[in-house]
Amino acid sequence: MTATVDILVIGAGVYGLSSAWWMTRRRSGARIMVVDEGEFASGASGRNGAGFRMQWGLDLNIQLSKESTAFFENAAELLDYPRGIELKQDGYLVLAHSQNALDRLNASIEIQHRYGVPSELLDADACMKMVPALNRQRLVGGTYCGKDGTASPFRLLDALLVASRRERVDVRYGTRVERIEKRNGVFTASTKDETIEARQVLLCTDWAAPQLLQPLDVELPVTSLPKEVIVTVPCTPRVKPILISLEHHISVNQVARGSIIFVVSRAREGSMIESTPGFLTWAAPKIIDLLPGVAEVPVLRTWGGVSSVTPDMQPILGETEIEGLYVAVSSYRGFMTSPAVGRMMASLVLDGVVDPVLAQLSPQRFKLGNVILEPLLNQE
Amino acid sequence: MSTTFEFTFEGKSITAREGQSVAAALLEAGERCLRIDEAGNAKGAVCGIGVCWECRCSIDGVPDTRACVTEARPGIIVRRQQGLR
Amino acid sequence: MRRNVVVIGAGPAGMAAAIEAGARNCEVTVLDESARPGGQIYRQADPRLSGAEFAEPTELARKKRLLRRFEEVGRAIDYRAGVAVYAAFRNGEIHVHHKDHTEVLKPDAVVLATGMRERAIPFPGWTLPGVMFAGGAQAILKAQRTSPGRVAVVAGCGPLPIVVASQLTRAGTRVAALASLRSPLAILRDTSGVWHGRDVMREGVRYGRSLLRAGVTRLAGYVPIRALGGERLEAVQLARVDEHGHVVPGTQREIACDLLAVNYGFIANSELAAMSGARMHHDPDGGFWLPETDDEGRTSVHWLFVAGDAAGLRGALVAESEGTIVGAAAAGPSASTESSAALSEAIAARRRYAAFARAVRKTLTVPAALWSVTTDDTVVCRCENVRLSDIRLALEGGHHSLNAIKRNARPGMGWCGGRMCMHSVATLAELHAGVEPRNMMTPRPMARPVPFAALTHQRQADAQ
Repeated sequence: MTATVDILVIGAGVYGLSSAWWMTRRRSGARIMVVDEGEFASGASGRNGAGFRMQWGLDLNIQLSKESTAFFENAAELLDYPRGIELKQDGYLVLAHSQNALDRLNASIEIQHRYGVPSELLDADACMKMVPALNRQRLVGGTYCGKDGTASPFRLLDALLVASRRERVDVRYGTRVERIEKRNGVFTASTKDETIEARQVLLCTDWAAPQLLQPLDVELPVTSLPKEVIVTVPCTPRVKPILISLEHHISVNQVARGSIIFVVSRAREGSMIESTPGFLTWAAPKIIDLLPGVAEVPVLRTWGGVSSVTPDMQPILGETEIEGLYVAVSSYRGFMTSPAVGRMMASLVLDGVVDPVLAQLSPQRFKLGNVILEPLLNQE
Repeated sequence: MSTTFEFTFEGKSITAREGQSVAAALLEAGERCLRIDEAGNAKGAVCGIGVCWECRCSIDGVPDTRACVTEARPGIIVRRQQGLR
Repeated sequence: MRRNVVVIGAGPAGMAAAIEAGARNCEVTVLDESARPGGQIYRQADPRLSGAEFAEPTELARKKRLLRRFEEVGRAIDYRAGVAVYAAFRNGEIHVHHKDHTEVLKPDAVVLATGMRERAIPFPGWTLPGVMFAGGAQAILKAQRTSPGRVAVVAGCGPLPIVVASQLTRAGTRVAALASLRSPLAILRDTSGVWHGRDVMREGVRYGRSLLRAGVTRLAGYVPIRALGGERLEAVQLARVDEHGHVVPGTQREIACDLLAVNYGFIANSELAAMSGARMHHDPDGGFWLPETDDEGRTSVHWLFVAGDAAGLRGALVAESEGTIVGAAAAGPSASTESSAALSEAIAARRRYAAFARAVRKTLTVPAALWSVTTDDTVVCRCENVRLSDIRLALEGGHHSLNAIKRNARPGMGWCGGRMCMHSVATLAELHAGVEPRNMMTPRPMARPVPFAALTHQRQADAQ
């Protein structure tokens, strides 16, 4: 069985669905198919911290997030999704526990202001006033942006799915592409039961992309980073903004329901989403050090997900060496950049337009030795 | 005959027997509602063995304590858990 | 070096496994959440609590005998009461929560003997204080020597509601009605099973007599469809169902009560087996998700054994004999796997009682249509207040696996970890959307809630 389409998007996570939807906005009538090996939201898009922040230190990251934040604020309308995406803008508070971290915050805030990001510098006392549950020890200050926040990735994905299908995009779950080939200017993607022919292919499978690209002799430096997340029992509100601690590599998000979600980043290998035996004991003291008040709060459950790692921890967006074959790989910030990335990929794929931000994130940058490190990265 | 003693529940004095659980003493005293959840629903003991977590009370200030598996002791102050901790 | 065996659960299966493994020269540790051994069926009251026993003398004799045997080996084994196993990992680690610290054990073998919990079918008003599981009411009778209600209605299917109704009357509660899905005599159809379980059947007859003497109204074919009350249960509405489980219109009756004790069967506490990576299979009326085991309790994970109800409904008599068999197997391939008198006896006993267990299991099947008592606005997930209508919305959105429904409508994300509701979610998904969720939820820590502070203080067993 063969299906023939104009554009095949592989991966129905936020990057895949966002790109597909933006394509329908840019041009109607194109035959677009999105395939995903799993079920709805079963990948990283359904396992992330659900946060978005504009507080970054690189121009391009600020631009990506600023555009995406504006999209989130209007998503219900833009996607014609009355249910809404559970948008909450209670801000992010990025904490510094050392002079080095504070210097990074200072440098970054200057760049943020150039783009009109409403972020502000806070001294330690002001941070404590905002979140009294914090540990005062070693805290030197932080930055806060009231427009940062969270939304529901499930709702966003659902909104994108419904809107795409409304525009006749064929989205298929449980469909795993085993192989991609190119012959006579046409791509053939083979699944277990069928082949799909397409003029253009957009790969949005993150760390699983290299497997499909290797047979085509295309190299993509992305690997997997398993992450574990801790969820407490529901509590009364005590952490209003999302917290990022650059020293602890922890992010803290107390959701509307009351549970406090801790993402504790640690350098690890592999792509399994299982829980590891040592994680809780390793993470617990760090969490108590950051928020002493949670010491007696029970951990209720855990979950896991797999992030993607690129050499400079920045997304990889653009056309590969093979004409018509594109990649959009996130680097642990897929959700919060997906609206902007989707728009840029749609322009690129449909009309060959290269957004200036996109150009800086091209797959070819590694060969040119362009290493752009983000100062406000919250990773080990 | 078991020794009896008193503890308080929502300001009321409850008689308990040595070795009884908080839930059993409250049930014997005719009390049923041990908790009001975040949505305002009245809750009480359901499974009797500590797996459903519906009977959570505040005992001497410690929230989310299961009444059905916690031994009653003289003078403890038991309150209905109102909403979240 | 003696072989190290950890037994999780001190009910009949766990106690028997510990005794046997200990007899075969293993270093045995028993972990149990309760303050005293016995599990559910042999739940003990605090020795300081005086009062009557409401169970039949023959059952009490069995209880006493096993508890005494366990106590006798108590000095030779490491028995830890009041601890909770909150995680098991594929590498063989068992993580245990004591009050203020946690501990990691990594034994040569683990015998999971965690038994079962009760199965609920949600209906309007079932979250009112006063609506309890029948077994939960019984736990209060056994351990607290007191009744959880003054006027009771008992309902459900299988033998437990009959036993509980009888024990409640003995405890002085007025049982206004005993409603059963089927006639209690239905079990007699399995003559072979009944014959093998005649000891227990005799007890059943005596419980039945208590009910007759107390003049308890018997409502065969009736189920609760609504619980009424303001802040607590005040009355129950019951209705008759046909053999397919459909409510028969016009048969409703309302009975005033302050206790509704209901049981519709059981669910295996098999989460730790799944967390360990054992292969699981779906058995809707036998315990929901069960680990695959052989006759000696071996799972697909070489260090993990399962004994008793945690491997599927089988009852206390099978559980005890099986505990001996699995304890022997867990003790390892050595000279001591040779048959002992205890082991031969256990094998014979299990065969006998397994026939009875099969008969009992048939009385615990619930027809799918009965689940229509769960109306759209009935709360299905009690912890998170998720209603059937919320679940149907998720199903309509194409979210069909348990994981997907959980992610979208939030059932199973509360304090009880889905223990009260996920079986309902699975059944309702099938009933309302025709989907049979094939994969159980991804098994992960925590099996029990544990505070950060305790997690920070972790001891490794070797260090001691």
